[in-house]
Amino acid sequence: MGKKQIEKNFELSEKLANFLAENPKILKKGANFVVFSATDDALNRINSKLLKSLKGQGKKVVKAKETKSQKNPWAFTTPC
Amino acid sequence: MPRKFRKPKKRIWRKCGNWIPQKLSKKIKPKKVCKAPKEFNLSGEDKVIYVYDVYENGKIAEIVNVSYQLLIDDNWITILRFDSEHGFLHGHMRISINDPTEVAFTAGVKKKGDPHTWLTWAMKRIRKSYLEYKRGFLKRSKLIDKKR
Repeated sequence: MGKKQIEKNFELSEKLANFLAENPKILKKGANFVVFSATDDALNRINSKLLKSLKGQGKKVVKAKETKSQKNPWAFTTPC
Repeated sequence: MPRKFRKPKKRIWRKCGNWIPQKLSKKIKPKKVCKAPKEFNLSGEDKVIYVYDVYENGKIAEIVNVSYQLLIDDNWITILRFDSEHGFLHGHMRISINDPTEVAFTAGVKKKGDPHTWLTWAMKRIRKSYLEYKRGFLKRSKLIDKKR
Protein backbone atom coordinates (compact mmCIF):
# COMPACT_ATOMS: atom_id res chain seq x y z
CA MET A 1 0.00 0.00 0.00
CA GLY A 2 1.47 3.35 -1.06
CA LYS A 3 1.75 6.40 1.18
CA LYS A 4 -1.03 8.19 -0.69
CA GLN A 5 -3.36 5.24 -0.17
CA ILE A 6 -2.51 5.17 3.55
CA GLU A 7 -3.29 8.87 3.84
CA LYS A 8 -6.55 8.42 1.92
CA ASN A 9 -7.54 5.61 4.25
CA PHE A 10 -6.82 7.73 7.29
CA GLU A 11 -8.87 10.56 5.82
CA LEU A 12 -11.75 8.10 5.61
CA SER A 13 -11.78 7.78 9.41
CA GLU A 14 -11.77 11.56 9.76
CA LYS A 15 -14.53 11.82 7.17
CA LEU A 16 -16.70 9.52 9.29
CA ALA A 17 -15.87 11.43 12.48
CA ASN A 18 -16.86 14.70 10.77
CA PHE A 19 -20.13 13.16 9.53
CA LEU A 20 -21.00 11.86 13.00
CA ALA A 21 -20.24 15.25 14.58
CA GLU A 22 -22.64 16.90 12.13
CA ASN A 23 -25.33 14.23 12.64
CA PRO A 24 -25.37 13.53 16.38
CA LYS A 25 -28.70 11.66 16.12
CA ILE A 26 -26.86 8.71 14.62
CA LEU A 27 -24.55 8.44 17.61
CA LYS A 28 -25.17 5.63 20.09
CA LYS A 29 -23.95 5.89 23.65
CA GLY A 30 -20.77 3.97 24.29
CA ALA A 31 -20.58 2.57 20.76
CA ASN A 32 -17.43 2.14 18.73
CA PHE A 33 -17.81 2.95 15.05
CA VAL A 34 -15.62 0.90 12.71
CA VAL A 35 -14.94 2.30 9.24
CA PHE A 36 -15.33 0.23 6.06
CA SER A 37 -14.26 1.53 2.68
CA ALA A 38 -16.31 1.37 -0.55
CA THR A 39 -13.24 0.43 -2.57
CA ASP A 40 -10.42 -0.91 -0.36
CA ASP A 41 -11.01 -4.64 0.30
CA ALA A 42 -7.71 -5.13 2.13
CA LEU A 43 -8.64 -2.45 4.65
CA ASN A 44 -12.10 -3.95 5.06
CA ARG A 45 -10.64 -7.37 5.84
CA ILE A 46 -8.48 -5.97 8.63
CA ASN A 47 -11.33 -3.89 10.01
CA SER A 48 -13.56 -6.98 10.06
CA LYS A 49 -11.07 -8.56 12.47
CA LEU A 50 -11.12 -5.42 14.59
CA LEU A 51 -14.90 -5.43 14.61
CA LYS A 52 -15.01 -9.08 15.74
CA SER A 53 -12.43 -8.43 18.47
CA LEU A 54 -14.35 -5.43 19.83
CA LYS A 55 -17.57 -7.43 19.75
CA GLY A 56 -15.86 -10.31 21.50
CA GLN A 57 -15.01 -7.95 24.33
CA GLY A 58 -18.70 -7.21 24.76
CA LYS A 59 -18.48 -3.65 23.39
CA LYS A 60 -21.18 -1.99 21.34
CA VAL A 61 -20.01 -1.86 17.76
CA VAL A 62 -21.48 -0.15 14.71
CA LYS A 63 -20.25 -0.92 11.22
CA ALA A 64 -19.98 2.24 9.10
CA LYS A 65 -19.68 1.40 5.41
CA GLU A 66 -18.80 4.13 2.94
CA THR A 67 -21.29 4.43 0.08
CA LYS A 68 -21.03 6.19 -3.26
CA SER A 69 -24.23 8.13 -2.65
CA GLN A 70 -23.91 11.85 -1.93
CA LYS A 71 -27.15 12.02 0.02
CA ASN A 72 -26.26 9.12 2.33
CA PRO A 73 -22.47 8.80 2.31
CA TRP A 74 -22.50 6.19 5.09
CA ALA A 75 -24.49 3.04 5.77
CA PHE A 76 -24.66 2.02 9.42
CA THR A 77 -25.34 -1.52 10.59
CA THR A 78 -25.12 -3.23 13.95
CA PRO A 79 -23.52 -6.65 13.48
CA CYS A 80 -25.24 -9.48 15.33
CA MET B 1 37.97 -28.43 33.92
CA PRO B 2 39.70 -27.93 30.54
CA ARG B 3 37.41 -28.06 27.54
CA LYS B 4 38.90 -31.26 26.04
CA PHE B 5 37.94 -33.31 29.14
CA ARG B 6 34.35 -32.10 29.33
CA LYS B 7 31.58 -34.47 28.25
CA PRO B 8 29.65 -33.17 25.26
CA LYS B 9 26.27 -31.78 26.32
CA LYS B 10 23.10 -33.11 24.76
CA ARG B 11 21.84 -30.60 22.27
CA ILE B 12 18.61 -30.22 20.35
CA TRP B 13 18.65 -29.06 16.77
CA ARG B 14 16.01 -26.39 16.31
CA LYS B 15 14.48 -25.53 12.99
CA CYS B 16 16.16 -22.14 12.90
CA GLY B 17 19.53 -23.89 12.88
CA ASN B 18 20.78 -22.90 16.32
CA TRP B 19 22.06 -25.40 18.83
CA ILE B 20 20.24 -25.06 22.13
CA PRO B 21 21.09 -26.92 25.35
CA GLN B 22 18.41 -29.42 26.32
CA LYS B 23 17.47 -27.62 29.55
CA LEU B 24 16.37 -24.50 27.69
CA SER B 25 14.22 -26.43 25.23
CA LYS B 26 11.35 -26.50 27.71
CA LYS B 27 8.81 -23.83 26.85
CA ILE B 28 8.48 -21.42 29.72
CA LYS B 29 5.70 -18.89 29.39
CA PRO B 30 7.26 -15.46 29.89
CA LYS B 31 5.68 -13.29 32.55
CA LYS B 32 4.33 -9.88 31.69
CA VAL B 33 5.15 -6.86 33.77
CA CYS B 34 3.16 -3.68 33.43
CA LYS B 35 5.28 -0.55 33.12
CA ALA B 36 4.26 2.75 34.72
CA PRO B 37 2.77 5.36 32.37
CA LYS B 38 5.15 7.93 30.92
CA GLU B 39 4.41 11.20 29.23
CA PHE B 40 6.00 13.96 27.25
CA ASN B 41 4.74 17.37 26.20
CA LEU B 42 4.31 18.45 22.62
CA SER B 43 3.39 21.97 23.72
CA GLY B 44 1.83 23.74 26.70
CA GLU B 45 -1.59 22.27 25.95
CA ASP B 46 -0.71 19.04 24.11
CA LYS B 47 0.84 15.91 25.54
CA VAL B 48 1.34 12.23 24.84
CA ILE B 49 0.94 9.53 27.48
CA TYR B 50 2.09 5.97 26.81
CA VAL B 51 1.89 2.71 28.73
CA TYR B 52 3.07 -0.71 27.67
CA ASP B 53 3.53 -4.21 29.10
CA VAL B 54 6.95 -5.88 28.96
CA TYR B 55 8.15 -9.43 29.45
CA GLU B 56 10.67 -10.20 32.19
CA ASN B 57 13.49 -9.99 29.67
CA GLY B 58 12.50 -6.39 28.85
CA LYS B 59 10.91 -7.08 25.47
CA ILE B 60 7.68 -5.15 24.86
CA ALA B 61 4.67 -7.48 25.03
CA GLU B 62 1.74 -5.18 24.31
CA ILE B 63 0.93 -1.54 23.77
CA VAL B 64 -1.63 -0.78 26.47
CA ASN B 65 -2.16 2.80 25.35
CA VAL B 66 -0.48 5.63 23.48
CA SER B 67 -2.76 8.62 23.73
CA TYR B 68 -2.66 12.20 22.55
CA GLN B 69 -4.31 14.55 25.03
CA LEU B 70 -5.40 18.16 24.66
CA LEU B 71 -5.91 20.63 27.48
CA ILE B 72 -9.35 22.25 27.24
CA ASP B 73 -10.72 24.32 30.13
CA ASP B 74 -8.19 22.84 32.58
CA ASN B 75 -9.14 19.26 31.65
CA TRP B 76 -6.96 16.85 29.75
CA ILE B 77 -9.02 15.16 27.04
CA THR B 78 -7.86 12.18 24.99
CA ILE B 79 -8.42 12.93 21.33
CA LEU B 80 -6.64 10.00 19.75
CA ARG B 81 -5.21 6.78 21.12
CA PHE B 82 -3.50 3.65 19.82
CA ASP B 83 -3.35 0.22 21.42
CA SER B 84 -2.55 -3.36 20.43
CA GLU B 85 -5.09 -5.07 22.65
CA HIS B 86 -6.38 -7.37 19.89
CA GLY B 87 -2.96 -8.47 18.71
CA PHE B 88 -2.50 -5.69 16.16
CA LEU B 89 -2.10 -1.95 16.37
CA HIS B 90 -5.24 0.12 15.86
CA GLY B 91 -6.48 3.59 16.73
CA HIS B 92 -9.48 5.21 18.38
CA MET B 93 -10.46 8.77 17.47
CA ARG B 94 -12.83 10.75 19.67
CA ILE B 95 -15.67 12.43 17.75
CA SER B 96 -15.96 15.69 19.66
CA ILE B 97 -15.84 17.27 23.11
CA ASN B 98 -19.62 16.92 23.36
CA ASP B 99 -19.58 13.15 22.77
CA PRO B 100 -17.07 10.56 23.96
CA THR B 101 -18.01 8.15 21.13
CA GLU B 102 -14.97 6.88 19.26
CA VAL B 103 -14.22 5.81 15.72
CA ALA B 104 -12.03 2.70 15.72
CA PHE B 105 -9.69 2.43 12.76
CA THR B 106 -6.78 0.52 11.32
CA ALA B 107 -6.52 2.74 8.24
CA GLY B 108 -3.14 4.40 8.02
CA VAL B 109 -1.90 2.42 11.05
CA LYS B 110 1.27 0.34 10.95
CA LYS B 111 0.40 -3.32 10.56
CA LYS B 112 3.72 -5.13 10.25
CA GLY B 113 6.39 -5.41 12.90
CA ASP B 114 6.38 -6.09 16.63
CA PRO B 115 5.02 -4.12 19.62
CA HIS B 116 8.29 -2.20 19.92
CA THR B 117 7.98 -0.98 16.32
CA TRP B 118 4.33 -0.13 16.86
CA LEU B 119 5.12 1.94 19.96
CA THR B 120 7.77 3.93 18.10
CA TRP B 121 5.48 4.38 15.11
CA ALA B 122 2.52 5.56 17.21
CA MET B 123 4.61 8.16 19.06
CA LYS B 124 6.21 9.42 15.84
CA ARG B 125 2.84 9.56 14.12
CA ILE B 126 1.34 11.69 16.89
CA ARG B 127 4.42 13.96 17.02
CA LYS B 128 4.25 14.49 13.27
CA SER B 129 0.49 14.99 12.87
CA TYR B 130 -0.91 16.20 16.20
CA LEU B 131 -1.81 19.62 14.83
CA GLU B 132 -4.01 18.01 12.16
CA TYR B 133 -5.80 15.87 14.76
CA LYS B 134 -6.19 18.91 17.01
CA ARG B 135 -7.62 21.04 14.19
CA GLY B 136 -10.08 18.30 13.17
CA PHE B 137 -11.21 17.72 16.76
CA LEU B 138 -11.68 21.43 17.52
CA LYS B 139 -13.61 21.87 14.26
CA ARG B 140 -15.94 18.97 15.10
CA SER B 141 -16.38 20.35 18.63
CA LYS B 142 -17.08 23.82 17.17
CA LEU B 143 -14.29 25.34 19.25
CA ILE B 144 -12.04 26.35 16.39
CA ASP B 145 -13.05 30.03 16.48
CA LYS B 146 -12.48 30.24 20.22
CA LYS B 147 -9.07 28.54 20.17
CA ARG B 148 -7.35 29.84 17.05
